[in-house]
Amino acid sequence: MAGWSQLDDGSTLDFVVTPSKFKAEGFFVDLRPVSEGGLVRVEASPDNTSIECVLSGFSDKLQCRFDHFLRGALEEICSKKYYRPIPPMLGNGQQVNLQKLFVVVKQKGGYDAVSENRLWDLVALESGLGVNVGSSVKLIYCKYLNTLDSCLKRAANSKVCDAVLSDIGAEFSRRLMELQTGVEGLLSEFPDRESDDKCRRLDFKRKLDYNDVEILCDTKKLKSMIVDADKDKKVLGVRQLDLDMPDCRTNEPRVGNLCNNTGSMKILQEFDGGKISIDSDEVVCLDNATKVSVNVPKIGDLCNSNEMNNTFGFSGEGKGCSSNDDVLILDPSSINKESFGHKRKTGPMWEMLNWVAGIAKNPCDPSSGSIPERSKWKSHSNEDTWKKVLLIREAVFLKRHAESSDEQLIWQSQKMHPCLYDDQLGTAYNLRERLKNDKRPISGKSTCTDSSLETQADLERSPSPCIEFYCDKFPRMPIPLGPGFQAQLPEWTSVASESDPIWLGTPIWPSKNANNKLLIERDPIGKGRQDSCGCHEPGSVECVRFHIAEKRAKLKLELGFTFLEWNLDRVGEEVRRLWTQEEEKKFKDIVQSNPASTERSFWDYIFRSFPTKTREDLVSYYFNVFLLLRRGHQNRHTPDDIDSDDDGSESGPMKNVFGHQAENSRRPTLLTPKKPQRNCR
Amino acid sequence: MRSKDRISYFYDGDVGSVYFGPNHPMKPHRLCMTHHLVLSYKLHDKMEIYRPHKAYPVELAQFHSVDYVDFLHRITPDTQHLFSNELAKYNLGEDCPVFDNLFEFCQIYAGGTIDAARRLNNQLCDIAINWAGGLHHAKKCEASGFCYINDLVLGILELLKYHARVLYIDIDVHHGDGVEEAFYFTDRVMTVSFHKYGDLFFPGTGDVKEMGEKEGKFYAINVPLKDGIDDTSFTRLFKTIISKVVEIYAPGVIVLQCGADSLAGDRLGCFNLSIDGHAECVRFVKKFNLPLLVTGGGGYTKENVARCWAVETGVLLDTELPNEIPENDYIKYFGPDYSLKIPSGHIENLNSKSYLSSIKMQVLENLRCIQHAPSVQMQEVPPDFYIPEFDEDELNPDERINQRTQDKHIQRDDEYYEGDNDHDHHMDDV
Repeated sequence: MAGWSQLDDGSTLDFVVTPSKFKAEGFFVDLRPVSEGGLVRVEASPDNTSIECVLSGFSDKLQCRFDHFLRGALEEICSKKYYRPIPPMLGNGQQVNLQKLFVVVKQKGGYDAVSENRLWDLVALESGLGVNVGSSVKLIYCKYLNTLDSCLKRAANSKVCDAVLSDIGAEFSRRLMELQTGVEGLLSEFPDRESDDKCRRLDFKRKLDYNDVEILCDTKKLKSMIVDADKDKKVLGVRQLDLDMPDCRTNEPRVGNLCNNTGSMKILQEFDGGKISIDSDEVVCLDNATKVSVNVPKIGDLCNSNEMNNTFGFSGEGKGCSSNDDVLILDPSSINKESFGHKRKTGPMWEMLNWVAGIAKNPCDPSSGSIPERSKWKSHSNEDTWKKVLLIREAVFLKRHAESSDEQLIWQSQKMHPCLYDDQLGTAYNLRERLKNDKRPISGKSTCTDSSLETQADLERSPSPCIEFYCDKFPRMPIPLGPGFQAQLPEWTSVASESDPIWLGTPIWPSKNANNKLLIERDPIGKGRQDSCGCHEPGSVECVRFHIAEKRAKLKLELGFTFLEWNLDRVGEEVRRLWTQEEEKKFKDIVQSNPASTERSFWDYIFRSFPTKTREDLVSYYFNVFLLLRRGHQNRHTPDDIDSDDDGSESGPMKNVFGHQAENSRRPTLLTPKKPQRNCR
Repeated sequence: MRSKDRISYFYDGDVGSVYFGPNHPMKPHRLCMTHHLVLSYKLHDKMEIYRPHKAYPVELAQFHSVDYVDFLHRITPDTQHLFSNELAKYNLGEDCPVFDNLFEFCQIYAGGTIDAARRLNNQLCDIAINWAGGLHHAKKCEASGFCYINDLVLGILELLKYHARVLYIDIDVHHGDGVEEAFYFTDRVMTVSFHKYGDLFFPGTGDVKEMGEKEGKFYAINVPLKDGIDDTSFTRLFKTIISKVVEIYAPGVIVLQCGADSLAGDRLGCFNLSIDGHAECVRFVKKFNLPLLVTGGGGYTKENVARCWAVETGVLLDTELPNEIPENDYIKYFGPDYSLKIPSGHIENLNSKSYLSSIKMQVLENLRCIQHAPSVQMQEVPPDFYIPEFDEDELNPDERINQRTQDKHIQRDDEYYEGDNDHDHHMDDV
């Protein structure tokens, strides 16, 4: 979703004249490939005139956009892991206005011409960077502006992506093609419109990006430039942070990782001032229509929240889910105060992120303080910003670096900040470990699973808001929406329909023909058991049996026919009367010879061994007699070890009986391995 | 002493013999035990007991898709191997096995809830109880979490014919996802669910941020809790939220799902509620004096389920039950103490005060959005965006809308909110 400025003649003009139309949104998108070593930024440059126009009129805004655009392009085109902070800084801490630089170089005839004529110092001067920094500027130019430029040039020349295919990394070309397909898909939705109109319309819908890419590829207004690398500058921004993580095995800049975790930790990735809020429905529609498989999930990640309007002002990377190398760029320049003015409860996070951004920009700034030795971390209050950062980093890294035993040690040995994890460390860790162990995509798109396809699939399934703020630790299940899921509500009438009485249930009690007004002594309502009785041996088996029978007889007398209606003649040990002693013994033997450890359930044998009895009879005997007797025995002899449940001693954890394959299930199942119960003293 | 309320209680003796299969934690036999306990305390003398009608497939299809209901009707354990595709499609087989009399079982418990709703609509009772119902996970087109037919949705749909707004409260340990999902887009049903959330606990939904969408935005409330919540914190949270909800939403009727798996010691649950704490929620809801439909739900340590629901039946009848369980055929299941008390759980309470208060704040915050949302219809009359599409000629004369009702529709035409007009449209579109 790289934001590419639209270079179509008409629309360029249009853009310049009425820039407000483009607002902030949709203009830059971030195609974000994560690759090795850092993000490379490449830059597609509009031609001189348009740039100049733009420059003169809206330099700040444009610069910002340009940066964003560049960022996306760089990430997209270049291979993995290149990290380029934008805007870049010279050794003296001065920020480089890439756009200006670009234009200046262009005016001088491009990179080659400038290099040949040794004009870099002049370029630096004209770009407002001062003197004697020509080589640095050249370096920056190379690093930031050259790659994309050249590749776009080639692409433009060939008019198709073939050139791109052959010359640039396969990654980028693939994406370009996808984008192209996507654009075509989109365009075909509006067959009757002129392309400009389409673009504009799409722009309003904030879908501009795809089109622009296409247009960009077709136009030949791109210039190429060259650069080389300035490692120092590149790493500068993050050096301080690296200090924070001495045990990370890599020196790569990691600022972004802080926030990037599993999607559930997604801190709204935001581009250009915080207004990307593509409605989730639209995203899905895009998704279906265009099959831009790589990009849409990212949009989804970015935009599928209704609350997304309050985005956070740093440009980050949604794709964070797929590898360890995600980088989140903290770019305070894009922070739009307005955009988070409405957001509640994000204050501390903001503060911290700004802090990180500040550090990244100027690691030597004494005002940001220093971080004590690792061994002293614990003694510091969690209120310290740097500590928060560490905690967040920890939270974020938990899963993604789980493979690294070093880091595992770190996070295992540390507790999470309560404000991040709602005090409950145990469950959080637990969850992560489980997530790690079974990589099922239970969580919908907020899980950190490693394929964008999966994300896409989830997205298609449900566009429900899934952006989570930083302390959401659980993956969320999407709520499926649509006529296949929601109920059709009935019409409301304030009049109850005159129902036939048979639709109201059959009155059973009070019964017309029961001995209501009878002679027998009736117990008061809500009376409990009397502990004293006149039995010879109170509490003995005989005593209990007697009282049960007595009560039963009373009830039968009272209820009359209703007694049968409720099947009360078939409860309790009464059921035993229908069984012979041999049958009972056989039943017991089968159950005992098939303990929990065996694969097959005793029921299989039971059903086979009693062909004359229905399953219902057998089940009834089991609940009403067998278990009851066993329970009675336990009550008397092992009151501390009572199986509350019928299957308790016969069966262990859920087995593959009746399809209890919870482990293979795609979604969480209700069944859990049986817990031993001690719930009755 | 005698309760002023008229209580209708639904029970069918056939549910007790339904068997989900070996090792399945859901045991309808608990209903039999519950009923027995109710009878042994003589509670039946204070209420009317009905046998529910067996809901017809067409009634079940008021919410569920026709093909799904039809499939449930047809499938048997002996033929299920022929339908593996359908079984997968309808999510049958894992949590939701196919067993003998499956469909009849569904008909009975769904019929009970539907009947209960109808009795409430006809003002034949003030409180209706169907412990067999409350199977809140079932979805429109599939079974889920031991639930096949979502009787709660069917009951609420029935109530919606008469009531403008229905409040659904769910204290099962699991999230009431089926009900929430069914009414996710409407403000005519507010769903409030208190449940364990996280650790991949079933069903995985129920984050506090799930709050409904479109017209239904803010009308789904989720109170996600962690392991081991105890009586004090639970009831405090429950009362705070529910009283606010009732105050703001002003429902015409309340549906309360009393899943007993939120009790301590449940085989699948992980809360530490005592029966008193659980029943306190019921007592609290009863105090609103609104028509009330009470259903069962989860509950997998069956003697505790029976205890709990017997106590809650007593609560609804304003009868306190003595702790000593009277003799009955199942008394041995309640040994060795033969009392209503259950031991308190030993699960550590992971709900810190700050966590609970943050959840509470978020919920109340969302509730405030309702208060201030101008589009919320809080007048007694619900918006009449369901314009009846009937052809007078085809209409069965018996069902013809009488003149008075039609007049009403016409009168209310001018009260449409602009946003209401496309309500139907939304529902179809999505």
